[in-house]
Amino acid sequence: MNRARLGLLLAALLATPTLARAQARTKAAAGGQAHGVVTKPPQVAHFVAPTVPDDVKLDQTATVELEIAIGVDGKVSEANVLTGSGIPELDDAAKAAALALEFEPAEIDGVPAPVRIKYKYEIQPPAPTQTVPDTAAFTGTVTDQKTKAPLAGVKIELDTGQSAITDDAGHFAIDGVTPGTHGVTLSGPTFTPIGTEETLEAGRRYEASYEVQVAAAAVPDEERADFEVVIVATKLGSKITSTEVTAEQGARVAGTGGDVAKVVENLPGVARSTVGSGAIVVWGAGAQDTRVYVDGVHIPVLYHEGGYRSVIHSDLVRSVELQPGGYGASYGRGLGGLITVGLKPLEEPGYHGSVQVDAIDSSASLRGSLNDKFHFGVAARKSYLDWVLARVTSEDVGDFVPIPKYWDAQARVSYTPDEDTSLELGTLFSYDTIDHNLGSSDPADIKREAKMTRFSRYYLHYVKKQGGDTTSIVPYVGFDETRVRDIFGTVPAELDNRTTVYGLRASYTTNPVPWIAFSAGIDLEAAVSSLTRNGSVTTPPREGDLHVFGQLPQDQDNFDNWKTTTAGLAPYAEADFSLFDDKLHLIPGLRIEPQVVRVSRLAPPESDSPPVGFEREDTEVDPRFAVRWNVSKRVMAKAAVGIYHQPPFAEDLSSVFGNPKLGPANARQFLVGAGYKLSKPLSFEVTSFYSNSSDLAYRSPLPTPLRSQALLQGGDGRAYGTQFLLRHDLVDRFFGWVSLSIIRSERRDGPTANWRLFDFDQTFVFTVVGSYDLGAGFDVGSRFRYSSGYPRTPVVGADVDERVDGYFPRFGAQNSIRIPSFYALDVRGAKHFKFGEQLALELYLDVQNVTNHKNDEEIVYNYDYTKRSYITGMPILPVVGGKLSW
Amino acid sequence: MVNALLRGAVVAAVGLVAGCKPDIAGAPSIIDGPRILAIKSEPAEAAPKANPTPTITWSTLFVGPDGNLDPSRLDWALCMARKPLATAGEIAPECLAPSGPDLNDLGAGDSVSNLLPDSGCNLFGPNPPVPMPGEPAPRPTDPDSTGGFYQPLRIADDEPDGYEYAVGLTRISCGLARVSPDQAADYQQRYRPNQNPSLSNVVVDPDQSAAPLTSDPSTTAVVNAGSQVTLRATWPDCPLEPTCGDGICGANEDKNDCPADCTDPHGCAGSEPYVYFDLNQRAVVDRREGMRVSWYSAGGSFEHDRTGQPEADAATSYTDNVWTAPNTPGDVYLWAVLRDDRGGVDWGSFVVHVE
Repeated sequence: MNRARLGLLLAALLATPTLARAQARTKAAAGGQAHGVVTKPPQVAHFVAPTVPDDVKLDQTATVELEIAIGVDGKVSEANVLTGSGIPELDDAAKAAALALEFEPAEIDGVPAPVRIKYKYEIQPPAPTQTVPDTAAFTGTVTDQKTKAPLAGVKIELDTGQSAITDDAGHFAIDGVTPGTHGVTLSGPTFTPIGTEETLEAGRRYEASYEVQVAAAAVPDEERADFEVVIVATKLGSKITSTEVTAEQGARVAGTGGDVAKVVENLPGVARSTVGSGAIVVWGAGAQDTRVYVDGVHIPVLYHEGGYRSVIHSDLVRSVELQPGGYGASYGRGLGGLITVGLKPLEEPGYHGSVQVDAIDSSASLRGSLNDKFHFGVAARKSYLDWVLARVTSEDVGDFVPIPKYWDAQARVSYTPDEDTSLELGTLFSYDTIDHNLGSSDPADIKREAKMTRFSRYYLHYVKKQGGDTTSIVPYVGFDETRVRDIFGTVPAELDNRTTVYGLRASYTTNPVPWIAFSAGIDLEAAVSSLTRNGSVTTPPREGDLHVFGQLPQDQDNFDNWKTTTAGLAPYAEADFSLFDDKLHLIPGLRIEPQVVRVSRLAPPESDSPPVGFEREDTEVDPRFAVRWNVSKRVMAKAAVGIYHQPPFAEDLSSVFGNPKLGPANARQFLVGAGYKLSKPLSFEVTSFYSNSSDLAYRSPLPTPLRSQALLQGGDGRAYGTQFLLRHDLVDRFFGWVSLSIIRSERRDGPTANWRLFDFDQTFVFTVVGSYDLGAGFDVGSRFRYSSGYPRTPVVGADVDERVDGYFPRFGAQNSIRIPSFYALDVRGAKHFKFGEQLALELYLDVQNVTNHKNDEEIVYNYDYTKRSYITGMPILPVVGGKLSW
Repeated sequence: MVNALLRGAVVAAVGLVAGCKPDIAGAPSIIDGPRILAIKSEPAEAAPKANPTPTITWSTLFVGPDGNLDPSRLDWALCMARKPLATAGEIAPECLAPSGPDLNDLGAGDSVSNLLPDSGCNLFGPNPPVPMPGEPAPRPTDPDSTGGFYQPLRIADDEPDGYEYAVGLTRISCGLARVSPDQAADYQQRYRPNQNPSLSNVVVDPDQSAAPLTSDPSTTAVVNAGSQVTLRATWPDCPLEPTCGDGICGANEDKNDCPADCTDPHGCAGSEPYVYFDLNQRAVVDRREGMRVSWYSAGGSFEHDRTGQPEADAATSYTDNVWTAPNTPGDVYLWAVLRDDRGGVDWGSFVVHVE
């Protein structure tokens, strides 16, 4: 029998899920989202060498490279020869041997999943007959899969305990190995240990060849996957334009303070928010038009008040993804972008957690496994900036500037009765308050701003996999509350909004044939709100209102209390047709949403007569279609078109302050783009888009509006632009991206009005983000941001109101000037300490606006509007913090 | 050191929250050019559809660095247009013009008189015009935070570099709309039209000499150049509980209970109690006016541009401010304008002798 030696091609999947998604095609996972993070690569459990036919005379090493499909049971279900040896019989032998291999199955997102890997046999000719010693020699080389450069310092260890370290040529040699099948482990500082098996025969010298994809050392072991894995299950590729950032990368971006979700602000297509705002304006859509989901659960906000922190602890976050537009049929009810926060799987052995402290807040998390089936994760965070201020300043700073107080908490328990089933129960809480008092000797100038917002979510997340099919069900219930108690002199501005939210997302994903991925599901959401509002119609101003910062509020007072119910049940279906050997993907989708909006009060409160309600029903049909063409291995083209609807906001359905008859607004989005993979880690992507929205609510311009029509429906919007993204994935210790968004967003307040700039239009947003692992536990990062200023309406004069003894402005052309452009450079440095196997400490310094550039954030005027100046943003802001994790 | 670093970090963090607001020079209390400081309606409040139609006299305080100015160049007009909901200010933009179809000319001078337009409660009050058949009803005007509605007027000042406008508002009594008959009757019975307040006096150093300011340089108070002095503006006390015979027809008095006070009813010239329809509670509730004094001077500077007593402190019938006299001796013009929450106004013009 011929003897065979083999080398195993080990090409790593980059730890960044973005590339994972680019390479992987996975079925829609929990919550209808597609994910593809390899949490465990396949390991050879039983090795089978090819049997060289006797009639094959092999006089030199023959190589057969195959692509093999490994099922969830670890068995090889399919093997195809990619590169043959030139000897068909030998190729057949290799294929037969590969089909007999057995693996420990790979895991995607912590769950066993079928995968494809490349596998290479190197079959050597029989050695000439000689005296057979009773031991074998094991030699070989280890090279970088990407650069083909030899890797020095790699430890090759046999299960016998024998080991060797590769030299500068990447070569190693272990002599005197007991014949037989041995486990081989490769380990090194730049990649996760890799396990395989080799069979050695006495008297033979085995020459192995290992190619390893080097990953950055800072990537945690559990997040790495070092096999080039192509996931078998065809991904439903409806994400035509998306940017996803892993938790590990997001936490290292300068300016985020280690908060993963804060990275969204730096992604292409997102406008820079003003200081203390935290509003996420995506592709020129309103901040409320962008939906945020956490593993399929809709939450009202991503950030705490002021935008300091996100509402989800970073330790529970696996990745954050932004789809600025053109997303698939599984999501709706928003005219803007889609932000999906993927939670980290809990299924990992042992207990893990962290404690983080800095000048603003502290947080802690704990994850653990009660047994093989039950796992849990809890996390919480609480701010104390107000407490710190009270102790280091002599004045009550909170009386002069709004200091947000917040806390959030999350708890999750998962149950995995078998490898195909998981059930998770989770809760999310967030609470914010701002209390800002500004006293004055003038009774009309006494101001108080008090705001409380909170939300909670309770959800179940059930995932069942059967063969290649996946069923996901996410029911949830939640409570949102906003309470505003502002007063300006004698003019109140009060709002209470208590909402109970019910949601259900369920999906079934299957591959009826290998080249089609199909998903169908329902997306139900109902919100029952109870609201009261007191004050002026125009306070606070809404988008499109002519106003300036600090302007006297209208001394008008009104009141309304009303209830609304908004419910939509949207069945949807989408498919991904993979054609021409996976080069062309056609992704049609359809979402049909019957929607009910019920308002308790059609007319303002009057006398003691009972209110008369109003109900409207609409059925929205939202077709979506996307196409992705992999022109070559490096070049990709894409296009998408879709219709999107958004129900009216409960606050706008007041008969006094809004219009109870408002219906859904809609948008038609078109995008086209291309991607070019410059190298393994480096990619470039350009996307152009046009979004045309209509039926937007806008303020009635009439001197005498009709009752219950303070808002009208029929505003239009249009936004168009191009975004560029040059991205370097986490390879060779570096990751980063350069993004440029050129966007113009306009609004028209009624069919006869002129187009004007959207209040949050930002023409240019340029961001450079980079982070480098220096080694020895040090990493450094930097972020540079440049953005156009928001448009503002100039004040061209002012007239005095003698009743209130104040001036009110006369305005020029709406939004015809801009706040000066913004730019800032942020830097971040961190030092990581390891204490034993588990304990790690990170100390970091995050310095925002390191050049101390005075950025103008808002225009202000003097008392009679004859002088104009600017409120400048934050000065240099160093934040020191530490995180202890285990 | 640690504390200093912490303080620095915290200050920076506060900067993150608040940013830095520029100090734009200038204060409204400094009179460095022609200014209209106040517009008074007499009576302060009237019902547009009263019989006979009330006549209103409007007057203004028009000043400059050298004292009160000749008001003959001021052009008065009532505004008969309603402003859109989201328009800033209290008046329709088309009324801020020298002339126009929505302006009802009142003449020129320091005071003008005219009948109060009887359409006020329709245009600017709770009784919008009757809709066309088949049309929904127009939206009534929202009241101010005291429950009041106002007839706007404008004064145009023909300055060399263009017209400047001042807006005045005359409170109009329109009753309540869309309330129950009981609530309407209760309100009608208890509501008393506003009366202009009265600025009793302004004194220097109220706790010591209490020297009153006058408009005569020979009798007014004397202040040392560069010194800081406390000025106190005082207005009459108003009784919290109605007392028959005090000359004030209070909220809970009527002609039957107290003919002495309510046959020819007068309000109080200070912080008046009044009733207000609370839209939240949908009930008539008792309130009291807050009082504000706007301070102006042609020299020196005030610690505060305006001072006063909010509604919660309405029992206090004075307010203090600190004035820093100029370093140059001479007579300095000084004005104090007293306003109540319901649109009533009074003023005083003074001279301070600085030596």
